Amino acid sequence: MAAKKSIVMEKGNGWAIILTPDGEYKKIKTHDYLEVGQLYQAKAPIPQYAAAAVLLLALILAGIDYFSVQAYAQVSNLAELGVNRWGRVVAVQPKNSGGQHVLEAVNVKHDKLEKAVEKICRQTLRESKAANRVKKIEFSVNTAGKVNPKARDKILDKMNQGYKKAVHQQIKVKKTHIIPQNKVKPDREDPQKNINPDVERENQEIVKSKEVTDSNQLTNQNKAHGNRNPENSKEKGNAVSKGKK
Amino acid sequence: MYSPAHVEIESAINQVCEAYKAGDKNALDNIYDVLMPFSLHVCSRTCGRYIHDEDEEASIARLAILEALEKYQADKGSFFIFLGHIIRSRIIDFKRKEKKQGIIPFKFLSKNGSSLSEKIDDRFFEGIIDDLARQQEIKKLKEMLLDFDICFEELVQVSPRQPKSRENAHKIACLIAEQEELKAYLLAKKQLPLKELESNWQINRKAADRYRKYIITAVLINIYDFPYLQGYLLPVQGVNNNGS
Repeated sequence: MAAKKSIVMEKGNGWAIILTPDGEYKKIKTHDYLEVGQLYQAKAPIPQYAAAAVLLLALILAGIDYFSVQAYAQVSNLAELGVNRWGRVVAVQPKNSGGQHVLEAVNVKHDKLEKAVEKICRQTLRESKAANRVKKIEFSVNTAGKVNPKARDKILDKMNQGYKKAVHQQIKVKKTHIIPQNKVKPDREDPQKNINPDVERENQEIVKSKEVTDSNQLTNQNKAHGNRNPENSKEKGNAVSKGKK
Repeated sequence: MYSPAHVEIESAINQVCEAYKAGDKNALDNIYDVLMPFSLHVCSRTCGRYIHDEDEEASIARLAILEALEKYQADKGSFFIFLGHIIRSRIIDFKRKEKKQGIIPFKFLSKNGSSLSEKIDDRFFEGIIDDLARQQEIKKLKEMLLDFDICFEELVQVSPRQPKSRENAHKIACLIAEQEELKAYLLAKKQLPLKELESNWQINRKAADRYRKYIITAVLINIYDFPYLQGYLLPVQGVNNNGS
């Protein structure tokens, strides 16, 4: 049996009053051609509302997924970075006052992990140099939920790459400040002025420390390559990579 | 499908046809007011837009009525259906001529009206006849409601939204329609007998007063001859004294 239709009781320009099969009087908006007394079948709800609802739901789910932390990447005891499935930093937690200080100087949220680690390492190295002390940087990864060695190793790789970029940048900066003695131009204002021997000694020390730094980095790289083997992990579910200055 | 009034009209039309064929050209005047609205409806449905009395399609409809009166035979079925077919054929021919001459408007086919290329059967015209009968009922109801200072716009506002509320309202309406004293009170005073309903039938006075206009409309539909509209009132299983 076909569904009962409504009766058009009154009509106007763009509207009509209908009596529904269950006895309700309703006013509807319509530009359809209707006559009083004619039977009227209400149309199904406009599908675009459903499309809009689906789109909104998709955006909400995408937002939830974006901010879901897949793994926690720890940079020494400075900071813990929450990383999502697309390798972006979505959560940042300083571990101590030093970390707080570093994170205040650099904004790493929503950056790729590699970029975030590069920024943190660069800032740490800069501060260490200013404080004239050696800063030991360690990386560790803690995956939220199930342990996934592949994902863990991938995160460690990215962190190492970020560190390398930061150090490489640091070397470049140091290189531009090292001027060999034979290239130093005489002071034109005072041509009689001799080069200060203390300055010369300081330059020599800088060159030496750079050599030491370079050799340490090489050691670190070798160690990092060696630590990728899961059998070498000391803690279950964690892998550790060390970087030294 | 056909109401008793419609059957009467059919028999009257048969008499007019006989008289017209016999030579009485004025016989058409008696049923012109009945045939013209139907003819205009057929034109409107065929063209998919409202056809006024002064439109060219209305003139075609008038000529089609004369043709139908000349050719109709009572044993071939309903006169209205026969007339409807002739009007539709003439309108289609007219539109084709317009199309050839390039006069036809761009929005030629509407969403609701029948497409001229669609094949239609007798149910198309029977639907139009039913629509006209419903239209007459609604017109009559509207005039009655004016006496009670009620219009359809107001009914939209006061119509109960909840099915249970609507059911209760219809029960009250049926009670009033069945009880002579309550019906007489309503028709005389143009008001609901709220006091009697509350005291004798324990009807909730507030609820009855809230849906007063809706209940009055339902009572009128119940009392008078509105067969099409009565089918749209909820079926009520009889009323006992406490109004439940």
